[in-house]
Order: sequence, then structure tokens, then C-alpha cells
Amino acid sequence: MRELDTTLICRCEEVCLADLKAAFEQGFSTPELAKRRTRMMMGPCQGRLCQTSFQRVVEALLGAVDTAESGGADSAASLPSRVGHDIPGSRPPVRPLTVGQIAQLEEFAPPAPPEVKP
Amino acid sequence: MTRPLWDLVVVGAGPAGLSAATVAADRGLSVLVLDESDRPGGRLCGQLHERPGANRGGCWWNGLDVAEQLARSAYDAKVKIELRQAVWGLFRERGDWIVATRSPDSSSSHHSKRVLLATGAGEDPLPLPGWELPGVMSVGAAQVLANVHRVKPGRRAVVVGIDILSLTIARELTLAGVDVLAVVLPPDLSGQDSRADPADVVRRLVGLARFHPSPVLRLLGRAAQGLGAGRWAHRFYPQQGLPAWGMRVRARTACLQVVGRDEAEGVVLAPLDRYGRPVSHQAYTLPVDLVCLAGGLTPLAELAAVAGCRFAHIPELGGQVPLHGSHYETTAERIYVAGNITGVESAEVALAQGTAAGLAIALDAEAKASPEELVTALKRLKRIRVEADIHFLETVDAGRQELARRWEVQDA
Repeated sequence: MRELDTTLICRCEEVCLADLKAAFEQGFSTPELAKRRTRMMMGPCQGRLCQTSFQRVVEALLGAVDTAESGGADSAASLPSRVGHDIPGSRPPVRPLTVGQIAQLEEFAPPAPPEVKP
Repeated sequence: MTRPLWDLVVVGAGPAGLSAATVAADRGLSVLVLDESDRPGGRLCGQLHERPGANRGGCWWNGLDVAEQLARSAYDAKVKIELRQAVWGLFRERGDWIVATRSPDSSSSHHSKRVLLATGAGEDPLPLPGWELPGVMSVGAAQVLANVHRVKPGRRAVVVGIDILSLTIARELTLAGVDVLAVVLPPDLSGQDSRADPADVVRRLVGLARFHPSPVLRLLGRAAQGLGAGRWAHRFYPQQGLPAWGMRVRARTACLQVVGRDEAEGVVLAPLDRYGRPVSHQAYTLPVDLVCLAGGLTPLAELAAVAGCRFAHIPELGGQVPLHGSHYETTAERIYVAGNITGVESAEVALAQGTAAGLAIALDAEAKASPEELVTALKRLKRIRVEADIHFLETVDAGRQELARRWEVQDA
């Protein structure tokens, strides 16, 4: 029978549970470091299919220190968690884009050359 | 080329988004609704369940019909609905917002004074060994296949994950002709996943006894209640499970993995000992061709994060939720939220929330709306919340209070 550790928890980047645990053991032991080391949440789904799994496992690895008493809201760049370490948040694009779709964007078009007056 | 500057862009054409758009447009705002699916209604489209009184002469909640009515009222109110438009970013330009979208083959952007995020909730994944095999899908995907596309997702199924949503959809699958053999627990990947804890799950089943509209689930709840009170009640849960609609709800059995070569061919099930640990040497394989994973729902709030909204982690509401005030305003200027993005509740609650949010936005925009109307809408929301058919998360009231408290704290 397959071990639980072989479970693929990030399908886009093919990270299994053991990879995430190993990253922590190697010293990549904050959510941000573990994300960069394993590339979880950095594939086409941008965390849609793995962010909550990441959060659950990371919280278990960090040990559930209840910080609910700290009370307030956390910054936008990251998401608050129960264990005091923020979970990396979302950045645009939150849906995959093709290069062609990016090229179509007017906001990213080069500015028009200045009109030359005779 | 000059593009229109909308008074309000709504992201998500589900119950909250459509009702908010209709109300806001009724009050004179120009409103554009964007949705990535090819029909309006959001998750409504897959819903089909009994309501209280169903046994006294046919009273079912048919989400498809509700969705159609909502879309019709929106069109009547001159709301513009653009489908197959996925919003991938929100950018600030001077005082306004640029809503960046892409369709399957192009991209565009819309300018708006205000944005309402009504993106709803998504399914929480439930990883286990073998879940990447074809034939394994989320329970919501199976629901859409059966109820929207009228495709039978499999012949013999096991549903992994026991909660109100999974039981409701499992029942819908039996109506579609799928043989649902059992509803079982998932393995505990993190070592502290409450979804895999028989004690927690049995406690939640007991909660069905009094409130659930379906008599079958109330009966299931009562059977669980009969196991006794206290934290060890799950030890008396029968190993072969409790019956509901011909399925067996097995809160003392876990699915340890999905097996199969090119597709799902079976699941490995194991009984759980009195501490909730799987007894591996008693594991056995049950042949199935469909495995539905039910990890619960969680608010879909990526766009709120992108817009710079501040969040709170409130498990009672389903996870990360954007902080918001009584007018559905967030910490990002002129970004509003309504519906399941603020916490997982039923479609009826989302509808009422949308109406209130639409009024609040009209008020903020100084359109023809009165504060009294908003008060009435909020009172109505409160009533609907109490009377709601289905409470996905039993502790939602406590979660709402906590969210309101956090909003006050950050305001001060």
C-alpha cells in the first residue's frame, strides 16, 4: 500500500507531502521559504488547488500555537493563519494568461510616439 | 478609444452577484456583471434538494430555476452580463478600478468606480494517495456533471468526506442512478485534520438531528445522538455504518488510497480504532469506478487579496475571509464583498446578502436608496439566516461575530 507521504499535494508542480516535510527539515521552515523551496502554489492554478492543503500541513508542522488573541487583521500580501506565520497570498494574474492575451492589453501597450510638428 | 466607466462591476453571477447587480441597477447605477462560466447562476445551477415540507407535496429547491429567474430580473433591470470572462486582476487607476479579464481567446479590461466581489466559495481539496487518477473528482464536479450536464459520472461510487454537503450531493448522485456504496472519512494527512476525526464528524452528524430539513438526515442525526453524549460517542458508532437513502455513512472507516492502473478501479478502506487511527492489517479493497472527494467549502477570495483587502482567518466561516463592515465595504477603497466570499452559507442567505449589498452600494453611490431600506434588507437577511434550510457550518453565527469584532478592532 502507498504511504500517505507519497500523496501529491500540489498537482501543478508535482510536490508530494514528503517534499514539503523535507523542506521544513532542511531549514526552509517558514511558509514563505517552504513555498519557494517546493514551488507549491506557483503553478498554473496559483494555489487554488493546494493553498489550503499547504496551510493545513504547514500549521501542523509549525505546531498549532493559537494566536487568535492577537485579534486584528493581517496585511494584504499574505494571509493570516492560526499559528502566527502568515500564509503567502495571491498576486495577479490569478488565472493563467497566454502571452497573446497579455500583448492585447492596452495598459501594457508602448506609448504612442510623440507627434512631429512640421 | 474611450471605454465606459461603470458605476459598478460585479465579479460573479451567482445568487449574491446577480441580486446585488439587480438592486443597484434598479437604483440607477450602471452595472456590469462578469462571470467565467458560460451560464449565469454560479453554483445554483447544480443544486437540487428537498426543502422543509417536501414530503407534503413537492417542494424542492431547484437551483437552475432560481438562476434563470435571477438572470431574467437582472436583464430586466438593464444589467449587462458578460459570460466566459475570467477576472485575473484588479488595478487601481486614479480613483477608479481597472478590472482585467480574459475570455478563452482574448483579454480586455473594464473601468469601474466600484467593484463588488461575489466570487462565492470553492471546494477545499482533499488529497490522498491516488487522487490524481481519472475517475476521482471533487463531489462538486460530480454534482455539476449529473445535475447540469446530465452525465452520469460513474456507476459504483464512494464519497470520501462526511459533511452536510457531501451527504446531500451523494443523495443527488443516487437520484442520477449512481450506486453510492458508502460515504467514508478521508485519511489524516496533516495529523490534525478535523475532517478525518471520527469524534468531530459524529458530533456534526448529531447536529443534523434537530435542524436538517431532510427527514432521512434528521434520522441519521438521531441515530448518531443515540450513541450517547460526550467525546467518546464515536466509539459506539457501528463499524458497518448508519444508513441514509440506501447508502452507508461510515464514520469509523477511512479511505486510505485510490487504486487503479490508468483510472480509478477501487478504494482501500480501513476501519478506525477507538483513537481514530486506521487499522492497516484490516484494510481491504472495494471496487468502484468513481471516487468523489468532499473536503468542504472555502471562500474564494483571491481577488480580494489582489485588491489589497485585509483578511481574517476564521475557521467558522470556512477559512480566510476578507474583513468587511456592515455595508459590505472592505479595507480596500470601493471594493465590496457579498455572498459566500464572506463565509460559507446557503444560496438563500447569499441572495439576501446580495440584495443588502446592492442597497448599501447604491447608498454609498448616492443613488436613490434610503438607509431605512438597507435596515429592512439586513433584518430580512438575519431572519433568512435563522430559517435557512441548510447550515453548512454550524458555528457560522460565532464566526460572523468574530469577523465583526475584528472589523471594529482594525477600525479603531
